[in-house]
Amino acid sequence: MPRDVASRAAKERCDAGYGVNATGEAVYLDFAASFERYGSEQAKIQNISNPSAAKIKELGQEIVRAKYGNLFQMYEKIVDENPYETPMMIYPAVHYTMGGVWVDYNLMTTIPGCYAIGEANFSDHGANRLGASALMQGLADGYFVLPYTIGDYLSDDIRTGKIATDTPEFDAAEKEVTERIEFFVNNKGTHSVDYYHKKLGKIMWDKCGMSRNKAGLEEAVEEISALRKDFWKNVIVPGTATEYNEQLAKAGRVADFLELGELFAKDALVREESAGGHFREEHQTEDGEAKRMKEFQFVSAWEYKGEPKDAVLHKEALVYENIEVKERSYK
Amino acid sequence: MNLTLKIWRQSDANDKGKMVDYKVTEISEHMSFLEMMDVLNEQLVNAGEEPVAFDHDCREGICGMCSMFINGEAHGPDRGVTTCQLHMRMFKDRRYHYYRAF
Repeated sequence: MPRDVASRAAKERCDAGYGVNATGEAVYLDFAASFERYGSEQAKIQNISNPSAAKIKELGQEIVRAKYGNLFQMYEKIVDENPYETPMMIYPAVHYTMGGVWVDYNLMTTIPGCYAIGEANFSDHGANRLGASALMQGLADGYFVLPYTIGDYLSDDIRTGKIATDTPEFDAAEKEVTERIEFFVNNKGTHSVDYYHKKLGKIMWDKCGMSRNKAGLEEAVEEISALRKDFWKNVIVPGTATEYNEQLAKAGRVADFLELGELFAKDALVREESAGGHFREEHQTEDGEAKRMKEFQFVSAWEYKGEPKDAVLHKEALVYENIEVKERSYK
Repeated sequence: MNLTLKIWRQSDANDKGKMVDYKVTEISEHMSFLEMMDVLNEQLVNAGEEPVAFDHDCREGICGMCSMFINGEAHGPDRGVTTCQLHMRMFKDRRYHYYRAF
């Protein structure tokens, strides 16, 4: 079963109230059937006649230990239960990101001289971002690509020397950043940065997550917009700007997330099809697979106009010459 | 679990620094040490006080960023783990926890 299907199903069951732990955010992953399957297979391979159930289980556990031993050990550390004997409790979660900043084949962004490598840049993940993609992409970009492309760019710059900071553009940028920092450390607020981060996370998780629909996305856009206004009025950032200040660093990032989140929801609302990680409940095939719509065969590039709701859509058509757009099928 | 945390606070190299007592309540034994610190920090921020700074990154036991000196031991009483994989059930029978970030 593909991971995206399993993840959506797990969340749906938990939302319906069937969660198995204290917070209702867990479903069981039981390896008992796997132990049996691997164990029976091993018994045949090792020519053990009439193996007992206990022997089969033991053989199966050995195979699983070889495959997933480190994960099982981590699980036991965290949950204090033995996953070889009791069903594991699992729940989907967001970690890492699918997609990122646009770069060309040399890994340079649209800003000349500004390169983005590793998971920070976009990549063509399908509906499942595979484990270790971050490591893979970081290594591929950092080891195999960038060393050969950045030198080429820098070679043109080799006699440029020190870059002046007394330009109006620099001054404007410096002023904007300083003002923002000063706002954060001086604001007489009532809620921590984490408070807003968690609220935003919940909206995104429920309404712009593994499964989306029109009503949920419309709500998400409104709710995030309201949350952002609240943030800029009531966020409290303790400490000063001249010390190691984690809260201040987080505040700057959450401010950006509050804009990006609303744009994500708006983008998801506009895209009336399912594609990759974007699964619209209204646009699925009978088998529950993503339904692509020809009129949405483009990349959406949103032009910044201040507020996310005012962002202007530019379409970059996706034209496939050597491949066909297909529906995923395990049949 | 209700805990009294004794934490070393020192604002910079020139500050003498001191141990400060903090109380946290209703800590689940399933929480990691860092999650407990998050609970403490939320409390401090809401009370207008300065939260406790500590390094952390992956929060899944693989990057090595989260180092703390807990009860006189690096990463606390458990072995072969990072602080983010140190769970509060290890402290069920103890009342005092001394902590200092590296």
